[in-house]
Amino acid sequence: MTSHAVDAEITTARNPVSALRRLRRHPLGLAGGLLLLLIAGFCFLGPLLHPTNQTDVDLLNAALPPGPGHPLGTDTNGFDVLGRLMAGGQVSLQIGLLAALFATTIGTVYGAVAGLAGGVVDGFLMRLVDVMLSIPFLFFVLILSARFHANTLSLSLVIGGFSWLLSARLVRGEVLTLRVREFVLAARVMGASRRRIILTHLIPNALGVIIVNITFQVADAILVVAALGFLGFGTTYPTADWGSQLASGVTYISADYWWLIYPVGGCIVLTVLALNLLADALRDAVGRRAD
Amino acid sequence: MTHVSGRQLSAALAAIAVLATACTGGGGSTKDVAGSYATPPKQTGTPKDGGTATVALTPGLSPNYIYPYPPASANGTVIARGLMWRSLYRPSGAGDQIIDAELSLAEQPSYSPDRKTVTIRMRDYTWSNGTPVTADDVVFSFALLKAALAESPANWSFYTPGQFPDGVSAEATAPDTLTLRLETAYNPSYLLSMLTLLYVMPSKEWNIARPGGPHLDYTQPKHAKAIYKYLTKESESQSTFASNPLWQVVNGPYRLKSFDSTTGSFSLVPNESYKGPGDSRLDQIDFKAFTSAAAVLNQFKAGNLTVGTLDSSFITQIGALKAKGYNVYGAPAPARFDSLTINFKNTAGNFDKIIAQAYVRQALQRLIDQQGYIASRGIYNGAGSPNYSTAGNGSPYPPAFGDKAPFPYDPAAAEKLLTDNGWKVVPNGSTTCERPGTGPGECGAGIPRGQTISFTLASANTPAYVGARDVAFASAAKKLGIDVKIVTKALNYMYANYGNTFAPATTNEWAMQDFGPLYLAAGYPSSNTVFNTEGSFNLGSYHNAEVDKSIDASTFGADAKALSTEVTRLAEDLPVLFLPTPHTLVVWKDTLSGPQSSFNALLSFLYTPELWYFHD
Amino acid sequence: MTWYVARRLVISFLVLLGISAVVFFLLHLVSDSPGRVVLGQRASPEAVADFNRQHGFDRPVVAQYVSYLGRLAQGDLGRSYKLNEDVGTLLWQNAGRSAMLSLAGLVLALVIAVPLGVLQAVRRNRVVDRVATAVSYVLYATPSFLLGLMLIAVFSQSLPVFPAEASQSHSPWVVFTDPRAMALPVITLAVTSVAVFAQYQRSSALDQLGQDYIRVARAKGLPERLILTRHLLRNACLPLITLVGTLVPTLLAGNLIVESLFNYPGLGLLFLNSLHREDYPVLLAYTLMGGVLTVAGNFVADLAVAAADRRIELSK
Repeated sequence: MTSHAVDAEITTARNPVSALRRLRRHPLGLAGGLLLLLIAGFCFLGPLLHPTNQTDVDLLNAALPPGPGHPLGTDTNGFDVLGRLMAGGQVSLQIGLLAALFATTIGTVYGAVAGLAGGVVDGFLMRLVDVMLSIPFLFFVLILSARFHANTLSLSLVIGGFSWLLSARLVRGEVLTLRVREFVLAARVMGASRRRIILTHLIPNALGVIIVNITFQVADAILVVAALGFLGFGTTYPTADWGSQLASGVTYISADYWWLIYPVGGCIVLTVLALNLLADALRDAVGRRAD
Repeated sequence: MTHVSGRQLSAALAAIAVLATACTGGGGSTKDVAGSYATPPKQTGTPKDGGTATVALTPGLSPNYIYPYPPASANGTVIARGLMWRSLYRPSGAGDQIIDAELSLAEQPSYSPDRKTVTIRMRDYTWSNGTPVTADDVVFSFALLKAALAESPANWSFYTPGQFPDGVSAEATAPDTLTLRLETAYNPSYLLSMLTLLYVMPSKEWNIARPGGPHLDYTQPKHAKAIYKYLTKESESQSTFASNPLWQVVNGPYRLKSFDSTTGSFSLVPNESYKGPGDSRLDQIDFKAFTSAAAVLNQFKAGNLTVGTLDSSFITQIGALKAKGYNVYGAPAPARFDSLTINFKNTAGNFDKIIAQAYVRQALQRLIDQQGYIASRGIYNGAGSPNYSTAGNGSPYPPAFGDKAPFPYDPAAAEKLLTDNGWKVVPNGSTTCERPGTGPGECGAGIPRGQTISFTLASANTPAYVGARDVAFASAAKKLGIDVKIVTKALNYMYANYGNTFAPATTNEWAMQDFGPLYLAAGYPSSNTVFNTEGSFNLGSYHNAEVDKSIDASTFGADAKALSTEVTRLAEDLPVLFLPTPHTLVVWKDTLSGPQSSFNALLSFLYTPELWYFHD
Repeated sequence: MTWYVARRLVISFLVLLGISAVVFFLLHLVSDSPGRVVLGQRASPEAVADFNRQHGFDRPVVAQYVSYLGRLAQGDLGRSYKLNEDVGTLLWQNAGRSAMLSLAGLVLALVIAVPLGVLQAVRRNRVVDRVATAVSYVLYATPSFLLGLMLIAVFSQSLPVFPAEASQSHSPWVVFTDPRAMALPVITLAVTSVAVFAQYQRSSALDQLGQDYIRVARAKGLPERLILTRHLLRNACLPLITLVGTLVPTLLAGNLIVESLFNYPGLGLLFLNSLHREDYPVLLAYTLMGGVLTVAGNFVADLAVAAADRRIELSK
């Protein structure tokens, strides 16, 4: 789940606006973005076209195979699976986005402080990151999830609270490279204040890296939510994230209720795929690789 | 992941194609459920000697202890309970009687007129080393049970301070005669059901405090304590369970051959000196531990298991199992009741005040569509029976109303109960109290105007039907403007945190909980400790003076029928909300046979493999 | 080099100390009254307080941590609350099976991914490369439990080729003794890693292809197959060791999920069951063990990088 460690290479940033313009030259990234829009539309606008009752249990129409009225069948509570996918997608996307925002905010501040402070403070802060990174992420999150009641906010906090470490490293690296770049040095020579340097030079220039990072984080967070739901630590009635939906499909796998597995599985894969494609293209657009 | 150049739109298309192929795999039709398991198959075939039967243990149950009374701090699950060391009286597997007289170590007890002196004659049983099982052995077992309780009252889960074995002194008045002297007289049926829990241990071999040490006088508490310490210490070493000569001295039909401490699986071989009923034709019984019910099913399908049980979630698999050559029999387990346990002390949102009102409990009970839950493919899938009493289905102590439930499913009646008592019902909204006060037609004491009904229901994460039935209940409540917040928790978390008797600090975290089944003693389903005010297992602090009185009568009184009154009173007062009882499925190879009752007893987790045999 | 290794060892040790502190304090935060968990439902609050006092759980958390470190130094991981067994024994009993499962998955993944990556590099931007990249992208977005579920649905339910459950034998060698039962878990683990490994191998092979010595070898007229096997594959080793070293947390997570899905009795399943049982000594020990493995993986990865640097240094 933290496999972006593999490609946590430091990229140099440029202006994000021109980067967006360059994104047009990435059809695959564009496809990812488009797919993501489609999925978001499916989850948030879909219920308008296909309104379903996702709160009243329908005992007699539980676990129906796909058929008229229920294009993807019903689940074991009698909820329409297609409608459930939309509702679950809202939860999963919200958690993914919130967790990524939490993680990136903490990571950016932490990394910037470390990078700017330098010396002993930087050393200590980054060793702490090393320590945290060495504890398997899933173990940590599971221990906390077992204890606390899962809802959108608590899940985002737990996931975000343990996935800011890579952002911190990235941002620190970025700040370190920018610190010695000509325009910052020039500003310094011209007597600009430290705050001014941070606000007008460092942050805008690091923004590209941050945006790319958020996109990856959303994808990772959605996978983590799915894993937690699958292991039985997801959200409960009346909400149900995609992972929890999949988990109920697992229970009935020997009963061959296939429509409880494939549609929701497909949603998870497509969403993560779209986010990864977009993030890759963004990274490419934001900057070239460090030489 | 490395960067992919922008020209590879074809890649995205290929990706979707791969996904599409993945999605069209699998599937299949769903079958409707046929309840073809209600009659137990007859005993058949000419018995053959020999063979090994492989028995699936209840999923999640992984034995790790051998001494019959594990201390609370060891959290022990005992290996082959009742198979190596028999209890003084063997509980009945049928559930319609307290004991199985044939398999018991003693004759029925006889009582003095004041019921305070009980005389018990031992039957002719021997230990595996050839010496007879005597009254002294029973006295020894009493002494060790008391030593365990002296260390911590938590060491025996059936204990209520001040009750059995407190105030009971045991004496061997002859080698084959045991006399119990009671400070307080017990209801004979109640005492008998307690004696089914007294495992008889070898006094001559186990009365030591170190290997090869002197034999101690266990009637002295300090010696009993030393012996208890020694035996529990020996029981901490799982690798020596099968080799330690202590554990080879047994009075039951089997002794331990091997134990796998990694999984908790173990093998038993017949105790040649066992004189009780049964031919012990099988050479060996392998008990296998499983972590999940699905795993048990898989092993059945692979043909690796001879005997086992499955929960009702696997009803769709009956056809497949029969095709594989298995017999399947299903029924609700005796004295099992499934319920939503109510916490009468939860003060969040004035829940304690609201739930104290009988009409509220009645309204909530009327929201539970027992027939609907049973029929639903998502909950019991047909494999369940309605139940409205703590004594469970087919009890010898049925409630007076028979099968006419006092508060059956009727949402309209539920709504009327609320409106008649001063509530403004807002379906799918928030139902609020309009007429506070304690008079007729008013909400009741402590419920202010504008009060809503909103509470937390803790739901066990396994088996699947628990979560499903709780969601169905929450959904029905929502239609009446009652907000039920479900939190899913692991069973062990609930065991450790949700109960006012042991975890008063977390009382406001749960208003109701569904931990699955509760089993009372099948032959005498007394709710002593469960629903009396001082009960050590009264999780939700239920209190009803009248119920206390009837529990007293069924525990201490002389009337054998007192328990029926207690069961009826509880069913009418609703200390819990009753849910249907799921059926337990007993599955065994059709090449194995034995008395019907021996398979029926598996519903109560009682194994009698000495009665089984393979046939052609 | 010796100096470098020594320095890395010291840092690793400090990181380990930090890990033990973080995990210990976190678990203390989550459960501060073991007496309740251990003694269970029937114990009175007094009995619980008494238990906590007897076992030192009422002392300040720092003092508890120090004595925990002391026991750890003697190799004592504590005793399970629920299993009547020492935690060290429990981990030891399960480690072999988990290690063999992960190893089998890893080896299978590498056997597929390394040649595939080289092939993709050699046939860059041709159909083979594009299809493989596309599949990698999809696999990369597929959680292992979903893949495992689909494998079960197809190969165990629809066409009953493989059992849906891993072997229940407690021998670590089941991968060899019962390959049919282990097929689906190992394939699930392998396939999810193939995507990462193949793409990594592809880019590293692309780098290699641009290197002078390959050009020299080609110029010398060495057969292409020899170049591929001798130079490309051999030189792929160090980067892959680095990759595997840094992937330890991912491997542990994958192991946990696959063991849970296929009910394979190993460390991952032990962790999950302990989580449900609130068996904190086991959780503490295994999380710590995960930290040790991660640090060890990073250490090996660093050494591999250093060795590669040295080789480049020498070749100049």
